[in-house]
Amino acid sequence: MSTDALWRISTDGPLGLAVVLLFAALMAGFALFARRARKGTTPRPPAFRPIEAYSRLPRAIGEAVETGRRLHISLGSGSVGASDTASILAGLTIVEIVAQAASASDKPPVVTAGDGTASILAQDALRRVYTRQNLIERYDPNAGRLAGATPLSFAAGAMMTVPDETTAANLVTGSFGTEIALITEAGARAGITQIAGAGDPTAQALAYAGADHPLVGEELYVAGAYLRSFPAHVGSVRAQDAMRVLIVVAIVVLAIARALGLGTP
Amino acid sequence: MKRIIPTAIAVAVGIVTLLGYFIDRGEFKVPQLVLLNWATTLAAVALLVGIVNLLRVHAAKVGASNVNSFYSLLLLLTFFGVVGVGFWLGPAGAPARWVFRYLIAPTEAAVGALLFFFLVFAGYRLLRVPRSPWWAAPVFVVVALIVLIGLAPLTIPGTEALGGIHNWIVQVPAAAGARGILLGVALGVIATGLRVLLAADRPYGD
Repeated sequence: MSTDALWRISTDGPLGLAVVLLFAALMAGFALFARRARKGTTPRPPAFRPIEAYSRLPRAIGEAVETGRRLHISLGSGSVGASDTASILAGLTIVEIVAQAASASDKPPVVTAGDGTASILAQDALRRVYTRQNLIERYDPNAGRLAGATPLSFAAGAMMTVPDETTAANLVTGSFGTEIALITEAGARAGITQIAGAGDPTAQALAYAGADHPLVGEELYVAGAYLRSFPAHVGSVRAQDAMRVLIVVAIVVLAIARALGLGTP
Repeated sequence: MKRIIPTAIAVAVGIVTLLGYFIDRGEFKVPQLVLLNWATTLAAVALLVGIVNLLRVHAAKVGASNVNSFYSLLLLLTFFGVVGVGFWLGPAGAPARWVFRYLIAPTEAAVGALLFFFLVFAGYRLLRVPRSPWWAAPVFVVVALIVLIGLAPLTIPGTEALGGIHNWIVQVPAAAGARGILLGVALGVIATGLRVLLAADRPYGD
């Protein structure tokens, strides 16, 4: 097969399905290994490169609980069902982890979303945590809320949540566009710890400028593996690394083939 | 059973939709389109639920009468005002269009315009607060300044060479970095989606 033909391969055909199936098989295999390592006679925590935002998060939660202030988690203005779904789901993983750690607090976390479905999922995530911990009487449905239905009205609503709810930390993790800068500015004015990450590269650049601890690239999607060592999440991080190596090898081989003029007419 | 039924529905719907995306045949495409139409209808209902939640939150804030209660009151009044105009005079009527064109659009544009000032402050803060590695923040700010000057429509005397540097930055390191980031994001997105499809993550039910 010529290199030109390789460049023309469409990823939304059977090849794409094969890649997804390979990814799923790698994930399942690595998750199995992670589960065994966790349940073995000498459980070993998974070794990952440190990510400052996740190293700082437990301290931010502790400070919020001790000072009786809330944590604000923002899921972004994207919609569940559209291309932003994965970023919102990654944000929901952080909501569950944070809510579980802060459930002892008098002031539970408040979650803002810019989409009706995302706000319902946020409420459900909070309710699930309180149900598991037999603290359902502490669950407040208004803690998961729609802040606005358009990106800028959402940003305006989320910005006001920071001073209104006396927040101790601003976790801006989900699906954002340029409006992420408005929300991190509200946190900076309040002088609180800020962790920010998004799927969109423009929003990531703005998060880097505006937040204390930015999440770059795929870092947003690995919270479950870093903070709770969930086997499925650890497996997916390992599978991502394996796929990355395969992609890098493919890029290098094709670049060399192209440079040598192989396959060109 | 309370866990199995929602999980089975989510996994089945996810797999049918995914197969419709990858396999271009009617027996896969038709169920995918039906499910996507259902999802659109459910999202509209969810938006209504979200709006009721938004009104409850702001009604509670008005009742609590804190410093920003006025803004919550303003939100409730404008919400019912705009909805009233839409219901009584029609969503495509002249009054509704006037509200969108002369109130909502300019207000959002004004909020959007604030971004520039906030970014300048963010750039300044970036230089003041130490961040690891130490050289990352200065490089970020200097590159942002070069790109901004390179994009300026007027040529600033003495900065002609920056145009070439701007082109090189955009076409070589920025493009390479953005592609690397997008590759990582794509892998993260696939992993997150697969965890839901394999029922390892269940962002619904108990």
